[in-house]
Amino acid sequence: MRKSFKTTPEKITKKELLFRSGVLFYTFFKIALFVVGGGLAMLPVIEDVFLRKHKWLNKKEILDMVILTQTVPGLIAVNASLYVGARIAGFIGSIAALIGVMIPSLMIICSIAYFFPDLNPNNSYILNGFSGIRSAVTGVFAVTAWHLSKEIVHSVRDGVIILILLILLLANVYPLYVIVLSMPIGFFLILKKQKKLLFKEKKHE
Amino acid sequence: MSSLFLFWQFAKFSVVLFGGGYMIIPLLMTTFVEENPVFSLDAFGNLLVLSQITPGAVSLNTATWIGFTQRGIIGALAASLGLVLPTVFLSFCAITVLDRLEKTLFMQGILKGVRYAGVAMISYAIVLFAGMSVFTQPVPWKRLFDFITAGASLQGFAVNPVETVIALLAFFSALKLRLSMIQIMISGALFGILLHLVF
Repeated sequence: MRKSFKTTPEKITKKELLFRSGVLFYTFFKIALFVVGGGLAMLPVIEDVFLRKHKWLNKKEILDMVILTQTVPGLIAVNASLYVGARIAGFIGSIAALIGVMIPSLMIICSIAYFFPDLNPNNSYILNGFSGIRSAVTGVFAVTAWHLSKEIVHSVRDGVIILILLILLLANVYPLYVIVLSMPIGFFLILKKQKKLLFKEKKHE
Repeated sequence: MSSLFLFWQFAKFSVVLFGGGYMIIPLLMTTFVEENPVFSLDAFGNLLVLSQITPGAVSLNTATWIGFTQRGIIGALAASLGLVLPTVFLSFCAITVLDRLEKTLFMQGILKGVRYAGVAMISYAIVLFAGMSVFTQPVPWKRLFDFITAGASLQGFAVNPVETVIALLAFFSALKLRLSMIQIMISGALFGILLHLVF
């Protein structure tokens, strides 16, 4: 069984701490600068660097990182950088990794937005390219939805819950409220399952 | 739109983004296209596309872009910090205070519920994106209902054949060929340009 997440790394000297923070900043800066496809695409690269190259993390810690990105709300890249940083060089390390992830986005996007501020270009080639990508994104999202629902929908009840939430969204209910509404539903279902399990155990006795 | 407003909006969003950023699209759409119309639908679609194809965390790119168009560098910082700071706080709580977070009944309940919401949100994002690509305009539900029941006209609402072909191709190549996101998007752009030249 898994114990709690470990935060502080084993005792290291101040010099080693600064060195590790520097490496963290540099690595995450490089990952955010070159990896296209968001946080999910970054995870394998992070594993490659810190598990295989530096050997600062072990397999279990990589697994913990993935679990944390699924459990704590927020972007995958941010969660991953915070956990890896904390595990390798404590608080300073995680802040270094986080800043490393954020700076390339700020740099790249601000310069694109500064030099090409017009989001409705007149060039028909660019417009057609954009609309092609939008169509492609529609298709990719459909695949994501397909994989997610294969994982989550096990019965008619699950399908009905998702359908009701979707209808609420389509009826222009503020999306934040829909997410908040889904939480007690899940909690209720878990409680029901737990009760069933207890009941079964009693029967066996 | 003030920097403080941007910070607050993105901070609010980041607290409910369980399991990644794709859930943010409907939230952004409601806030920045419908409630405070600072972007047209087309401009917003292009913004989302650009933040997908630039390197880095996708939602962070989107936040930076929205912030920059509203308040320059300060706005970009405010928006991206808003998206990040709640996560810093929460993940430190998760790493240090809460033991075996994912085993507690409360957290299990929230995560189970939010997964349902996740599927609903991404389905809604598909509908939104389809309104900007596969269909000529956002799906008009009320008029669609009238059309089915009474055969009323659907002025302006139709299917774009070229975009539909690209969306289907992308769907099957992501499902069967397991191409990466960036490969699919580059070929989407090329197909978009080429097919529009022909048809």
